[in-house]
Parts: sequence; C-alpha cells; structure tokens
Amino acid sequence: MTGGWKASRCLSALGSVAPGGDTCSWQTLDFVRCRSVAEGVEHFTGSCSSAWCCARGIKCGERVMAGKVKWVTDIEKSVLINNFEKRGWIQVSENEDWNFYWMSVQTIRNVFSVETGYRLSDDQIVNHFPNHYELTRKDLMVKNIKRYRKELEKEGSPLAEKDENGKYIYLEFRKNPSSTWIMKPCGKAQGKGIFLINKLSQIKKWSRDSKTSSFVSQSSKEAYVISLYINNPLLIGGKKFDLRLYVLVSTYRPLRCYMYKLGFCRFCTVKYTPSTSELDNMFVHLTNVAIQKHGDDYNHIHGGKWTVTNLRLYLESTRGKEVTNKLFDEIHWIIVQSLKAVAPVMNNDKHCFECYGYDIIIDDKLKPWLIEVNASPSLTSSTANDRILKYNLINDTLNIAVPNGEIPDCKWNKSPPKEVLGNYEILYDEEMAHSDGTDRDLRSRSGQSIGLKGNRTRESGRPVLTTWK
Amino acid sequence: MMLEEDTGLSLAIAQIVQRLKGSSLHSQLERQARSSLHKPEIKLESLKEDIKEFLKASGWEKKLQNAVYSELSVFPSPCHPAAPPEHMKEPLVYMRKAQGSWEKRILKSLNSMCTELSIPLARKRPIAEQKELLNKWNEMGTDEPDLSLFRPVYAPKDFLEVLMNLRNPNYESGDQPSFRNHLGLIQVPLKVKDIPELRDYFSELGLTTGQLGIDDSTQVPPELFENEHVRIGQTVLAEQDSAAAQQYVRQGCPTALRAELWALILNISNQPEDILYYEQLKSNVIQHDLLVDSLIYKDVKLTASNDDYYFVFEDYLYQVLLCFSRDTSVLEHFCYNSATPPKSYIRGKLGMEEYAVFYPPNGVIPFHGFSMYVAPLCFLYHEPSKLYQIFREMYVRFFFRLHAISSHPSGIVSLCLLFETLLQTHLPQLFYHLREIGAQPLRISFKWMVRAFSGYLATDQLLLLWDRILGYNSLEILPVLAAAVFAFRAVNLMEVTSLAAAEAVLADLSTLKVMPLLQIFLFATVT
Repeated sequence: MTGGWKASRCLSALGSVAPGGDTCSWQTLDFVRCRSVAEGVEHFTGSCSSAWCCARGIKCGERVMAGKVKWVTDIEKSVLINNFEKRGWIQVSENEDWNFYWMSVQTIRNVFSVETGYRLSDDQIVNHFPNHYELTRKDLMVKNIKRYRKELEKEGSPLAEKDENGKYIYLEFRKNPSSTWIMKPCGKAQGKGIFLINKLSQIKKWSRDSKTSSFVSQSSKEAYVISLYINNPLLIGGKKFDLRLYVLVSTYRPLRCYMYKLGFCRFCTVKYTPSTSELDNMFVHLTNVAIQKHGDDYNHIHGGKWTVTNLRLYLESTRGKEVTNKLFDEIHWIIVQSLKAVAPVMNNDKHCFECYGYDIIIDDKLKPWLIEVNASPSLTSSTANDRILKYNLINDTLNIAVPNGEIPDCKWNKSPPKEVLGNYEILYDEEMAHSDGTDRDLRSRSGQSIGLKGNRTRESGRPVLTTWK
Repeated sequence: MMLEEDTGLSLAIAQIVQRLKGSSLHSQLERQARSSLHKPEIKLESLKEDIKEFLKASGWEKKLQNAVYSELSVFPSPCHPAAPPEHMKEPLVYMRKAQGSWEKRILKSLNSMCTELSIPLARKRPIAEQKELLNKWNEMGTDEPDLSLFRPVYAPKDFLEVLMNLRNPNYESGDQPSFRNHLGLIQVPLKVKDIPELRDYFSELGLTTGQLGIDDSTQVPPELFENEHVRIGQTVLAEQDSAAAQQYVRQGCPTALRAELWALILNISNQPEDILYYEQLKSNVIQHDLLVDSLIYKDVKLTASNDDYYFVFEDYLYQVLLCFSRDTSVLEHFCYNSATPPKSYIRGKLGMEEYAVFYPPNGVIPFHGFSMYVAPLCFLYHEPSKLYQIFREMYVRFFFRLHAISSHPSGIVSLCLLFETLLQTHLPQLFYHLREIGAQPLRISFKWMVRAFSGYLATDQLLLLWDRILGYNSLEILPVLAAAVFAFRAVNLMEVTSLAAAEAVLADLSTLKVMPLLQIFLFATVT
C-alpha cells in the first residue's frame, strides 16, 4: 500500500506547506482531489507525490473525504488511526466535542453506566452496544440461547425440534460425560485463564488447590463456564485450527448484520493429539493466536493463518461441494441465531454499531461449533497480510457505519448502498427478509441450500443470505 | 527415421505387452478370467469370446485400456528396433554429454558437502532413534534439527547458467549476430511451436469453448456451461475411462471432482499392495538415515513452511519426500529420462561395480524448491499413501523434465526456448527493452517454469494450470503462461530501468487468473 513512493514536496490545494515540515494544510477543505493529478506531476505506477497522501496511503486521484468528523480512540492501533487520517478526520480528545469514538470495552461501560448519566447527541457514534456482554460473555450467551430456545418452542418453530431423547437438535450444547471439558473464565479473552480437565472430579481438586496446581490461579472470584471441549476437531495437515469471522451489526431491531468475506483460519503450531498426557500442553489444544505466538514454531510470515478461501478449496477438493456448502450455510446460520437470541435483550441504542469476532471450530463431521464471540477483536497485526486485512476491515466497517465519511446523524436508516459494502456482504437483514412476503420453511436449512439464484458470490461460494426469517 | 506404420505399431504393441506382463493387473485379469469359468454364460464352445465379453462387462477391459493408455502416455514411442537405449533417454549426443557433466558437478557438490560435514551419505539408525522417529512420524515438522551447515545442492539459477552455455557443436550459425537472430539466453536450435501451431495444439482453450477458470465466474449463470461440464465430469468418472478424463480436463476440473479425475488420468487406484509398498518405504525411512533427508528438511523449511498456502501441510511433505528418496521403482523412469542416477560406492571400494549403489536409492537429488512439486497436491489428497503415489506419478511423467537437459519438447530447454521465442516474436519491443537494461526475461521466468509455477500462483489457479498439463500431457503450457504474464504487465515493464525493478514488477503473481491470460495471449492477440 505504501511501498515505493517518493515523499516529495507537498502540493496541497492551498499551495502552502505548514511550518515544520511536509504536512498539508488542506485538511480543512472539503472533497478535494489529490492535487498532484491536477498539477500534472509525474507519478510512478499510480503513486501520489504528495507527502500527506503518501503517509496516509491514498492513491493518486482518489477522492478524499476531507470532512470535519472528529474522532477519539483509546485503542492506539495503526490500522485504526491510519483509517481515520485517510478520511481527513480530525483527532480530538474525549473531553471535547467528538463525533466518532472507537472505544475499548472498559470505556463503553463508563459511557453508558447509570451513574455518569452520559447522553450521546445525534451526531455521535460509538463502536459498541451498551450491553454487548449479553453476547460476548459466555455464561450470558448460554442463558440467552436457552431463553431463545424456549421462545421458539412456544411459537412452535421447527428450530426448537427435539430428538427422541428430548434433546434439542439444532440449538444444542454438547454434553458427553466421557470427554474432555474446557473451563473458560467468563470475562477473559485471548485464551488466558483457560485450562482443560479430564474428569469433572478435577474441578473439586482445582478449586481446592488453586494456589498450588499447575493450572492458572486467579486472584479474584470469577464465574466459569464449563462447556464440552470439542474432542474431534477437523484436522487439516494433522493440525487443529479455529475459524475467525468478523460480523458487523448495525442494528439489532430490526436485525441487520454483515459478514466479512475475508475471515481466516488460525492453526495450532503444535501437533494435535487427543491423548490425555498432552492435556496440559496449552499450545496443542488452543489455537488463539495470542497463545500460539509464544510457541516455538510461530512463523512471522503467515502467522499460522489461512484464508477462508483456502479452507473452502481444500474442503471442496477433499470432501465435495455439497457438504462444504452445507458447512458454510450452517456457520452463517449459527451466527444469525446467536444474534437473534440476544436481540430482544440488547439495548439497541441508535448511536451504536459493533464489529464482532466470531470464533468457530469445525468438527470432523464438518459440523461447526460456536466457541465464543469477541466484542473487541484484536487489531494487532501479526504479519504483513494481517495488517492489510485488518486495515481493510476497519475501512469497510467505517464505510458502513459512518456513511460518506461525513458527520454522522444517528437518525439515518442504517441502510448503506451496496457499493460501500467493500468486503462485507449482507448476512441477514430482518427488514428485507420480512418484506419478501414468502414463507420460508426453516427446515430446509438442514441440508439443502436455500434460495439459490443468480446472485452468487464466488468468493465465499454461497448465496446472499437474506432468505431466513 | 520413419518406420513403416505396421512395423512401428507392432513394435509398440510388443513393448507395451512386455511391460504389462507380470504386472499386478496381469495377474488380476488372469484371476478374474479363471473365476469366470464357473459362470453360466461362459460356454466351452465360445470360451474366448465369452471371457472377453465378461471382462468387458465387469469393467476389467476398461482397466486394461487405462493401463495401456498410461503406458502410451508415459513411454516414448520406439524410434527404431536397432536404436540403442540411450536414444530413448536422449537422441542428441551433445545434450547427453551436457547432462552428464551437469550430473558430475552435482555429485561433486554433494560429496564435498558430505566430506566437509563428515556425514555419511547413509547410515543405519540406532534402535532408540528409530523408535523416536516412528513416534514422531506424523509431526516431523516440529523437529528442529540443526540445518545451518547444509545448503541446497543447487538452485534453479545455477541450472540456468548451464543451459545458457549449451551449444550444438554441429550447428554453425555463421552470420554476425543481428536482431534477426535469437536474442535470448538459450542458443540451441531446437524446434518449438509457433502461435498458429500452439492455437491448434491447445484448441480446447479457444475463445468459443467453455473453460473453468473463466466461464464459472460469478457473472456467468451456471446453466450456460458449468452445470453441464460438472455433469460430464461425473459421467467420465463413472465410466472410469482414463483417455476420456484426459480429454475432459483440458477444460478444467470442477474442484470436487479434481482429485478423482487426476487419479484416473494417472491410473492410480490405491490398491492394498500400493499401500503396503508405501508402508515398506516408510519402514526404510525409519531404519536408515540418508544425507539427502537433511536436504529435504532444509528445502521444506525454506520454502513450503513459509508459504501462505502450504505451511499447513509441512508434515505431509516430509512423509512423501523421505519415502520418495528411497523408492527404487522410480529408477525405471531413467530409461526415458536423459538423466542417469548417480552411483555411489561402499567405502573403500571406489570404482568396483559390484559395490556400487544408486544414491539416493531413487536416483533423484533434490534441489532448492523441490518440495513445491508436492505441496499443491496436499490440497487434493489427505491420505498419505495416495498422496505419495500421485506425486510419484506426476514426477515420472512431468516434473523430471524440468531439471534435466534434453531435447524433448516438454524438456526445460525447449520450454525456455519456446518462452523466449514467443516473447521475441510477439513482444519484440518489450524483449529488446528488457535485454537492453540487463533484464533478460528468462532470468525472471525460469524459476516459475522450473517449479511449474508452484508457490507463485494462488493455489486454485495453479490447479487449473496443472489440469491442462495433465490434459495435454505436456508442459508447453508453462512457457505460454510465462509469456502471457509478461504481456499482461508489459506496460509497467516498459518503464523499468533495471533487473531489480523488473523483478519487482513480476514479484507477485498471486492475483493473476491464468485462464483469461492464456486465452488472450493465444487467441486474442494480433499476430
């Protein structure tokens, strides 16, 4: 993006260079084309010779939104900041009048807490929903799914179907007493504080010996969720992996969410073995990049990551097209169901949008399992590819959340035109689905793909998913 | 030297029968025929016809057909009954000589590394080490042996230097070099196809024929081509016909059918005896350690482990390549390969033939990038013994030609010459410009062709390219693609002023779509 360009004299519209160097003073102008085109300055392979453009990754002739959006962030990551600067937005501090605040999850708690009595104005947008933890805290997600399940049952929805043993077929949690269990602390992310136990009796041992055992000890009391550890993950090249997908939610009621096409697989650097002696080897069983990064074999070129496209190619080639399509359909379905489950309890504040990181594991029967949802997916880049991906992710997210890069008005209908979606595609649009009128049989989701028509998207190889209600 | 058709045909038939005799297929057919004697439809009066009918109906005739087809595809047709065996390897003397000296150099390099590091070419592993390796068989990638002292025996650019110096001593060009002469690096007069001939040869890639890689894109409704093509592919697989499959894949394989189609074309059926053979090779690896093993490790660590697409399959690569080195059945291909397997002598018995062994046992010394021949196949086959057989067959049919000096039309020398000729003929301005700035195009494209583009293209595109290699049973598509890439980036290349800058323009091929490039270059460029 920024390679090979000459940072020479700045050719801003005003023709003046701010004192102290090569910064432009044209930030104050609206919708100005990069002047180097107009000046007829020679550019090499499409690069702009304006230092200001160069530094912000802007290509020659690209329209720059030199608007007056004022931004704040408490997450100092270059992929964020470069995106703000590229739009010509102005950085301010949180005490000043701001339009856009990319906050950490701690900050959002304060903003919306009852005590502060903070009121957001119409031209202010934040990147979290106030009670996102309904989705991202594992114990609350479980609670919400259970509640959702009961509601479906009352409605007589086929989704709440049970098998002959009385277990839910579609929205189940795995239960199998002879398997390995995973203990995850509810609030922590990045794989911290997670450990595995073989028998439930070990829990007693753990809580008693927490100071002396090899398990991670905690300083304060924390709620833990025990869920069944997936013992038969799909292995590729003999390695375990999980899937990280990004989902943008612009509103919960009506539900409108987008799936980022460029998700990736994170591979375990150490071989997977289900044997119990390996239980304590954290590297084998967890794929979270933050933990993998410290393993001996971590590679800084690919970072142990594969694109979803590669995964698709591999699965289609080795397992066939139908089962691969079915797998991806099911993944999308899980995501939509999780959002629907929390939609009723989510504070659908119009000032909010949120970009979630969904972690999914696929088992060896090609069934996907939702592991967890992150409200603050990592914006750290572990490789060059990573940096480009996250930069584009934020770019596309901002294009949807802050239309035209102009000062936001949270009264807008949150319906961006197709052209700005970038690498996002519509995952579920409740309004569109209902206005369709036709009654779709949800049972068709198990096995057959729904509504395959002309508008395929080859990159993900599945139909646009607006057909579920 | 043309034979009369009849004698040529009967000679070919005799050779094929000779090779198939004693093969497992032969014994299976005999067994099938014998067991059919109990069947009511087999009558004594018409025994021969009835058995033939039975074999046809039960699909065994098809298997025989496929085996014959395989032999025809792999072995060159006999030139003359009196021709010495070297002629099947390589008819031209100067080529044979050049290959011989190149081999001497490689062997010298290997031996000196051996002496420097005081490591034997081969040694038996102590029992403890054998046990450890067996436990770690599925995860050899986690091993971190010290490979810093090892270096690849040679890299593609070393090989290019040798090819540049090839000269036919019988060829006197006479004239002063002028712009009419060949301006490229390869200076031997081999016959290569021109564009009209290529259009004819690759006619199925034409603009009016449907292609996967073009006509299955999002904008094209699947009813127009893709659905029908998939249906035909399924029929071909049901019929289990190698020749039909080879014709079919010229238009590309649907991803879900590719693994089976390639196996059908290569006549790989993964029988129990094949699996057993692979297990045998595996036990050879466990018992003996070879110096080339370290070369293989080093190569994988340098190339595939760092590749965005293939790093996942690192362990499979060891499992395939270590076994490959010990597979003596690979020696058979040397009868039609201009190369000769290197010989090594038991310590102290230099020169005594009875103490000579081929080294490595399969006669193939790996070079830098060798593991990239295997890597793409891991996307198709996840069962090690099948993956192994597919790779071995691909090697003895195609890949060996990419690093041996020969006059074969699919040999690397012809491919280089074809590339340079195409470029010089159809993009003369570009060729001249690059030559002037010291950036001979072959210097850049050589590494692509030697690796059959593995590691340079995105995997799905690479597989579409290899579909056509299998479909046409030829590697000539590689230089055509290389020239097409140069044509595609010609505008940028015209602006560069150094070899480094030219390399930079062509450094990243991962976004290219091969089929449109090939189609445009072959069929839509004004000649």
